[in-house]
Amino acid sequence: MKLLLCIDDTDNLESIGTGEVLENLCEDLKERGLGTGGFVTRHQLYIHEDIAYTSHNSSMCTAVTADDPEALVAFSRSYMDTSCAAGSDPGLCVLKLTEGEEYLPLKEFGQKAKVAVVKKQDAYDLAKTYEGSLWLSEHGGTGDGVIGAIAGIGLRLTGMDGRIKGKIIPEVDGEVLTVGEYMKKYAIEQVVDENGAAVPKEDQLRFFEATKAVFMNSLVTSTVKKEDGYWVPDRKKLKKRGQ
Amino acid sequence: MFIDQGEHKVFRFGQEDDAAAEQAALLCGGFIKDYEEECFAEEEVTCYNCRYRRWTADSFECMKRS
Repeated sequence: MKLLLCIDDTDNLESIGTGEVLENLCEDLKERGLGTGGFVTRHQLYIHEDIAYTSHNSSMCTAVTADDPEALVAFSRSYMDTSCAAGSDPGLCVLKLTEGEEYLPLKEFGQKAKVAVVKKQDAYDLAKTYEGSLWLSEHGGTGDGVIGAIAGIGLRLTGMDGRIKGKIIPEVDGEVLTVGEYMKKYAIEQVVDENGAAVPKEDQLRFFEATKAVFMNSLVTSTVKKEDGYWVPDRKKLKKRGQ
Repeated sequence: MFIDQGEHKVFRFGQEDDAAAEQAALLCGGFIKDYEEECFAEEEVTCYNCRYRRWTADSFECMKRS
């Protein structure tokens, strides 16, 4: 079965980042046969003086394939208890996905957490409505990370939020390939232009500088623009924190 | 380039002044690049990509202890 796993507020200024904590957790889950994680998405949350984030207020989410969600949750909880940085306020959220469920309250909570201050109790109240398929837990400090953890799940469910962790780097500087070849070679699921329109797979693309993928239409997406007759992956990083 | 606010220094030029943020980082000497997923600016050395910058609504504050 498919699950979403999201963590928040695991770091301090000297520790590894929350994205790396999530990747390490996924490695351990795989080693123990408890689940196989996929790519990690980063979700920006609200920046406000009433929120005690470390430096960015972003949460990290991944999809996991697992047979026994309760065993996965138990291991993830114990991992979070021992692997988060001193002074952090870690939160963990795991959702067992149900086919056909729209998850509107979760999506709305995620969107709200991008633009407004939300309280820990709001997160727990929301979790209650998914009892039996959603696990929310805090792992030290104030535990306020539960807010970002459940919000990250909601934002991932929208399919239209966040960037994919990691850079896509050209194997050969300046290589020319079709859009279809580019997708296959770099595990990209969708290529769109600056207006969000799909680019034909037979079009030519030139790749000469590292780029980032974003999460769009629930797919790993590369945005491109036309330069000198070729499609070129967007080199300009997303400037705004909120994207 | 920073406004002293007691414990913290707030960057005077907001979140969109690439040249000023790059210059500030080059002058600082305490720059440490943040995790890849938290770097948004194109410049390699810039306060916008520094581990010690803490975003605020309009700018960022520098958390580096001198």
